[in-house]
Amino acid sequence: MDHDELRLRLSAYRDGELAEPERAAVAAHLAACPGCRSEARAWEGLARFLLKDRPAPSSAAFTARVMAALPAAEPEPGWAWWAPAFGLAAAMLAFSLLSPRWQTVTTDSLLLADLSADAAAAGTVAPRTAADGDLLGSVLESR
Amino acid sequence: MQLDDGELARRAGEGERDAFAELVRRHHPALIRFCSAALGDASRGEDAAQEVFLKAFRALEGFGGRSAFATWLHRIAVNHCLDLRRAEARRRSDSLDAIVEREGERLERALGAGRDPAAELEERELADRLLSALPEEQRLALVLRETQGLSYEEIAAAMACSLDSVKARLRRARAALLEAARHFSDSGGV
Repeated sequence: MDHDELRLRLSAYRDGELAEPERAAVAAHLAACPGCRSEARAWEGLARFLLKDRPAPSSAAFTARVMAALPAAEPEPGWAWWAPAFGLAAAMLAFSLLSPRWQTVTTDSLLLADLSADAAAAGTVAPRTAADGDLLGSVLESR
Repeated sequence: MQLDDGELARRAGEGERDAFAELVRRHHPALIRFCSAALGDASRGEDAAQEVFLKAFRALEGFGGRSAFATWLHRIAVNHCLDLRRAEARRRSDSLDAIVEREGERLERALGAGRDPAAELEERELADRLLSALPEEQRLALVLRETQGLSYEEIAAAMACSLDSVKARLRRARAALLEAARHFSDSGGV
């Protein structure tokens, strides 16, 4: 390789990216060529000025800022299914617990209502409880 | 036992935020330094690095562990910085010659011995502008090599180019900057 070819390889030589026998050829050339040595030294000074003297900031605040800026975590896939089902079940339970029991219609209450109406029409006293109703029913059946 | 980057990235991808926080802790100094140099503006390094981490977080599923996490992160950073730079036509219009012409004295002081610590910030700004005058691919390759210490293979992966392209970009970047410095030196400077 001539001088110009070797000079073109100074950059990769400096970076330790030349394989043998190129590396050895450039090393020998540098030892013998003041111009290329001077260029190599000049680059070291320039690189230090341009790039090497940069501070490497390290801060917990930076990490905290990045973490705070991350998108919110998505809910677990299991919860995505369970949440509406759980809500519906809870609503149904609450509805059944809070509903007034007097709204429940039983056969006894219907009979009592009928007897009350009959009693009112006949000017007598209507039964007020299911026990009264049973007693009255048996009396009526015996007639 | 300290987990390696690949394992942390896997866990972070599964939703472990602490794992991602550890990756940020490990890599943010280097990434801020890279973004500052790549953008040619130290004041924007942190914001850019934060954006890169957010992009990385959203893309964790795409990190298959085929390359090192740092290389993958740098690839995102390279693309992000290129996007930002494309939006800055004005700053890119400065040529190396124009900067050396205008800032010759400051460059001499900066490269000379016995630098004044008080002038460090000013010099940093000049260094940023010199780097900014390089073509994008050359500047990014140079920053990846000089500030991050990436190998040619890693730079090729981060920049999605061939090894030969990496070699050529670095060689041309160094030659251009040396030429600028020599031009000033020949005219009575360094």
